[in-house]
Amino acid sequence: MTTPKEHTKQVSETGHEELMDAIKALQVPPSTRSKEDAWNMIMQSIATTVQPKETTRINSLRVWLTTAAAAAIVVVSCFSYLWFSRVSVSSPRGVATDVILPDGSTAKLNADSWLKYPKFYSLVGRKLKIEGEVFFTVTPGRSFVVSDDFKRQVEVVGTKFNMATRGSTFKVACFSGSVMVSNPGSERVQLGKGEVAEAAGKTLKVSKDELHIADSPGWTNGEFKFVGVPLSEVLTELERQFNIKVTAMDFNPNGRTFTGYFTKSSLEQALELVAQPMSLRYEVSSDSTVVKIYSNK
Amino acid sequence: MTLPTGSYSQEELSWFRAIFDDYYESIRSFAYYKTGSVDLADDVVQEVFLKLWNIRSSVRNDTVKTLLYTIATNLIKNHFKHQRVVYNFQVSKSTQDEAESADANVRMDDMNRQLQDALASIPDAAREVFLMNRIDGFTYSEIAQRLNLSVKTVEKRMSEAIRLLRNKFGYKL
Repeated sequence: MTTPKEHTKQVSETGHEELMDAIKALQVPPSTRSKEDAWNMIMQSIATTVQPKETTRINSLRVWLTTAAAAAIVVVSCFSYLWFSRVSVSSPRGVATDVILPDGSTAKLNADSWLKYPKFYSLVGRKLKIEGEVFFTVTPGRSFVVSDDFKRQVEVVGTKFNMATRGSTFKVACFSGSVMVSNPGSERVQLGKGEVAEAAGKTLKVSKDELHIADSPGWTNGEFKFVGVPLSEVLTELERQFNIKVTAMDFNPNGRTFTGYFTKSSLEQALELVAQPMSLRYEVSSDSTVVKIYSNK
Repeated sequence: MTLPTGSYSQEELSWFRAIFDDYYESIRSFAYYKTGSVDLADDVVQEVFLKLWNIRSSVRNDTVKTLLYTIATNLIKNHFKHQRVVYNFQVSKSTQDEAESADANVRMDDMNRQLQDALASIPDAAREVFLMNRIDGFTYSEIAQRLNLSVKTVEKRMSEAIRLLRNKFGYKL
């Protein structure tokens, strides 16, 4: 007879051996397929999932599309660059600026005006945009079109003309040759030498203007002539040409009309030329930037 | 043998075949340690090699071993989450002594059953390390390399497995 302790020990020793044997005998159960079968199945899956011909076509199509897209982007950006590049020239208040355009045409910008034209002018066409007042001398050639923000435009082939566009004001004067003037919503008007078209609402009013019989507008020589215009316009022109602030102190300058002229030679002289015929009195600030005008002497 | 068609070189195919020959069994075993299912292990090993083929252009030879185990681990993690694992390890016949009594055979079968239940009850991480060591005969550093673990972690898991099994049986392993 063995003691319980001995018994446990004996069993335990036998059990240990058996456990070690069991661990040693552990094996992963074999697969239902052979290794070669497994390999072939993998090859089969690769062959069926890849579908090579389809892929090649997709790949070449994709490459083609990518190339085409890249080329299109290059073409579009080159085109945009050529087409949309603009040169912008502006003339500040108090200064007139001469611009020589790539085709030899000239543009003289009055004070407080700007001009934009295509950088690749001869390629894109002679299409210009202005705001303010510009006197053009156009070299004969292809159509030369000047427009403003309101799509009012002047079209010429070779001529000299002045175009003023400031807000609702739109005035075109032809000094040589002829120009076609158009205003959205109205008929196109052809101007000959010495004719002036002016926007009146939606229509264009054409008149002969003796002031423009000269071969260039007065302002290009520093002379500003007015015939029956509201005094306010004259004061605005003074402000623009001398870069000053002009204020009517005790009357409405819209209510009075002015015929006459001033020159750009000196502020004092210009003010005198405007004030004297209208019986006005003026005061110039010490730094010559602010002018006050009074109607009572 | 079916040859895959498509854009690959002969070198790629023979490289792939070599990897397959080297790792097919050990990955399949590993999948079995993780799933306890022959069918799942067969499916996993299949998928692992398919995946390897698909990413072959970005596979580096020095990491392919670890990569295979990682792919297997992830596949199992994704597909067989929280599945109850029941083992049915094969017991090799060679260790069975023909001269042994029927009683001994019965007791051995009983021991096997107990061992497999015990293995199923220990944590996954400890079990797979233990089985890779005991069945595949991998050293700790080989296991560490394959599972992308430190040798210390492998040691820790190994001793955890041994401790838990010892607690179950009361024997030194």
